[in-house]
Amino acid sequence: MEDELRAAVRIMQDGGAEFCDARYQDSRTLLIVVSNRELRTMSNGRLAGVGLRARIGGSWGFAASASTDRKSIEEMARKAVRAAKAGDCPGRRIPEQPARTGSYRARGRIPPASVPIEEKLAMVKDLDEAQKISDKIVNTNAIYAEGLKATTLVNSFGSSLRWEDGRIRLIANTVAADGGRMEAYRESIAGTKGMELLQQRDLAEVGVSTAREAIVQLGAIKPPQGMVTCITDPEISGLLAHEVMGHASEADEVVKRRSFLTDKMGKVVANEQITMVDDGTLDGGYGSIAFDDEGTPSSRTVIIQNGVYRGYMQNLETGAEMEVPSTGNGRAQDFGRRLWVRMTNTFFEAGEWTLDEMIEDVKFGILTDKFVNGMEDPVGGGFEAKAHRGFLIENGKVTKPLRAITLTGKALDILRTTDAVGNKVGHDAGMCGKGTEDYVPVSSGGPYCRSQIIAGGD
Amino acid sequence: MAQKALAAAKREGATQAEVFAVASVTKGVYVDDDRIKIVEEKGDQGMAVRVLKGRKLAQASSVCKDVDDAEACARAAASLADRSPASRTYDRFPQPAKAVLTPAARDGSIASLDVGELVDLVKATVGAATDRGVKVPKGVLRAATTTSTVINSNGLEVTNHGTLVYAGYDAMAQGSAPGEGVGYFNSPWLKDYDPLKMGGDIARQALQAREAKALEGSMKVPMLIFPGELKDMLAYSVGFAFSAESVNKKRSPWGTMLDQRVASPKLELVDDPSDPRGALSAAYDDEGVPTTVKKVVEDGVLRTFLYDSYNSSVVARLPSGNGMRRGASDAQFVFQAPLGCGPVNLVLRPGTRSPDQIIASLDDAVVVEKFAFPTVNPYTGAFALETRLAHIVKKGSIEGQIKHALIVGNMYEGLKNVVEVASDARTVGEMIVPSVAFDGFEAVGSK
Repeated sequence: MEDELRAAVRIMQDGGAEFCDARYQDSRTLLIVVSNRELRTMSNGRLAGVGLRARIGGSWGFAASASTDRKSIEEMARKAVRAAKAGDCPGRRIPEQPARTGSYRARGRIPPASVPIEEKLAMVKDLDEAQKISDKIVNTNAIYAEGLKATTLVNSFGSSLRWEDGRIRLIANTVAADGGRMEAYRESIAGTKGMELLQQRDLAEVGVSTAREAIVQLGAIKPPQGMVTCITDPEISGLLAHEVMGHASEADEVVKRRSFLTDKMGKVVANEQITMVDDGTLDGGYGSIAFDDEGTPSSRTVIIQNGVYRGYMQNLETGAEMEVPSTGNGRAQDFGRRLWVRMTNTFFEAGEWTLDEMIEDVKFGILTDKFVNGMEDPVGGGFEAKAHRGFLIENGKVTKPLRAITLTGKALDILRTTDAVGNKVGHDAGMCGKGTEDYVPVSSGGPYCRSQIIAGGD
Repeated sequence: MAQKALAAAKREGATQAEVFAVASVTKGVYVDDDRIKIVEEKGDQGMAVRVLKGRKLAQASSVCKDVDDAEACARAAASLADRSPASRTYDRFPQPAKAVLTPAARDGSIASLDVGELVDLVKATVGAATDRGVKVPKGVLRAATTTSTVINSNGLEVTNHGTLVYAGYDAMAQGSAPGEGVGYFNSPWLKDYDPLKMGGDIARQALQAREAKALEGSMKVPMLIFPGELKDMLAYSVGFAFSAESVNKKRSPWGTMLDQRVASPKLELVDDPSDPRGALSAAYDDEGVPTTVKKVVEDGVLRTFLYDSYNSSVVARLPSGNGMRRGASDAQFVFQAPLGCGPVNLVLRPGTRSPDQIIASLDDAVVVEKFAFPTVNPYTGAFALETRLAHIVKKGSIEGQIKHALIVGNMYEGLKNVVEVASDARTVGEMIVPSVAFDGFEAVGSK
């Protein structure tokens, strides 16, 4: 395949591309879903094909196809050049980079593909079965997903790289009902490790505890409304890191001055207890990658250090615009979709407080538990984070479970009010879209953090 | 290739087999800071093969550049089926049946579209925004053709031809506290895309969002929610509740409500795959079952659930033509999508008055134009959504804009408290939805 990709790169260069690359990707997935003790899904998938990018001025031509024969790829290369010439974007030339070569296998000690499907199915069935702990449990769900993506990349700097990214994820989701009320709860385990990630856990206990918490939620009350003292759990702290500070630190938003963090370098943006990073090298992190989709090795980018804003995430193009190196954050959903600056594993680092110490000081407030979803606002610096549930804190004690809570406000206002940062960091896996498209696997996380935040829920 | 895959599945011992094969061509243009950033042309073809061995079901999907890929996909599905435990009820794919509806017309111009025409439309959109002093940091316009064929071992063979036009833009009014405008467009018809309207709308939104204030205190007043936001709220709530998948799993809040009132009598929801405005309207669903027009909620009463073939087998009835794989915003790699149980084209019957006329009739109200991400808890209906742009109505007139407030309520309760359904229905994703005014929701500010 490298020969065909090299031929494509030559055609794009001959056609006038100042920079170009050619990617072949072959992704394989396995999905097993068991619900209410019945197998609901047993499927595998293969997505393979070629994506070509040609850059002329500041515009790109992009062509993609599942066809991998030489003639088709060469025709695609000519299409990409023609398409690039239809653009009118100004841009700095991407400076010459060192040619990278080599072949890299997926991380993980026990490759998921080496484990028999029967063993995986048994694990999923057990996880589903374990959730049926009471007549109040009306629906049990266990989901196992694995994926392995192999990328071969050739570019006009002379790089010729091949690497793999592998991921697994196991989810338990329980629905409980009683007296006309219905509530759900979920747990998940995910990462870029091999099957050892799941073999280390007591999955029956995961199923039982998920179901137990769903039942607890049947007694949850409406959360308080308005500005409250809020202790965000690691997932919601991570959502704040990701949705607001993270998206606004993607340099493609900054070069367009679309980010509220434009021109913030070196300025105080948070309480001094706050340090935040994006780290694509995090061992086992769901967002970890060996290389980004431009062939730049992933790296650790410090975004906020002790409250001071320190850096943006970059790809080749934004790095050229800002005259800094790429940080290895150029990512695309697959070979057939465009590349943006994207996060990997984004999180706040640990502080010094224990959770008990944080709760003790709160007269009236809330403690969140698990995220549902969130949305970025790089322009306005606001954020929305939906928590699956929470707990009421009264006079220094956790008292009652709360139904789903949405948090909102201005990120910088919130981070300035953060007066306690927990001493343990947790991470959670997710899929991140740029707006509402182009999903890539990421993780976000942080410690428990105590801040003043607008909350609401029904 | 589909026939070869079907034959390969049978050779591997399938008692039943089904192939969903799809080919698509997508042309798209991305704008970046008012300029044409990326121009793209993409093609793909692939298939999903489902195999039953007795009641043991499995699926494999793959890109298919040739017959070898297709046959490998079928063998993979057959091999997985060998390892699957048997379903309690599912033992056959749909039988062949004649179409009930006439296939909706598609936009014939898209197949021969030159990408330069999309470039011109994007430039016109951006021009309409920049003329108002607003920039367009990002946006996309794409047009696609899809041909999907379903064949199965029962002799079923159907083909749907589709076209899909999708646009999404972000506009930005600069200043010390910038404002953002967001616009989306979905349709099978490129001629319906109006670049001047899109550019003007996102510019107005951005300018108004820049001037919007944070809400202080709270308000419990009627709330008029625009179609683009209401669509997601409906999809997450009623779209979940009337799917037989949710009902059979006993997690639908409407699971025991058939022929009971679930909404205001002002509300009618129809799955209408014959409507030419529908992004996914077609004579057959993605299992090859003829689609039909179904009143799901009639005068506020729940009349039916929607069934794919699997969920119909659970309750021993026929599928309703609601097994769906295709999506309304992207035609790429559709063969990868799992088979879901949902509407082909859900239409909320519009009312007779425009949003402006409804606003004029309200003393105090909030008009929500943009939420951050309008999701609803499907089990309970609860929501608390951050507004990115909403309008405050006093004595029938818009008095100003707010943002960063939470709108809090329960969607299932809201559907019972409809003030009025407006006349401004438009295609949003897989639905056609007008604005609707609700009672009972609350706006919560920062103090």
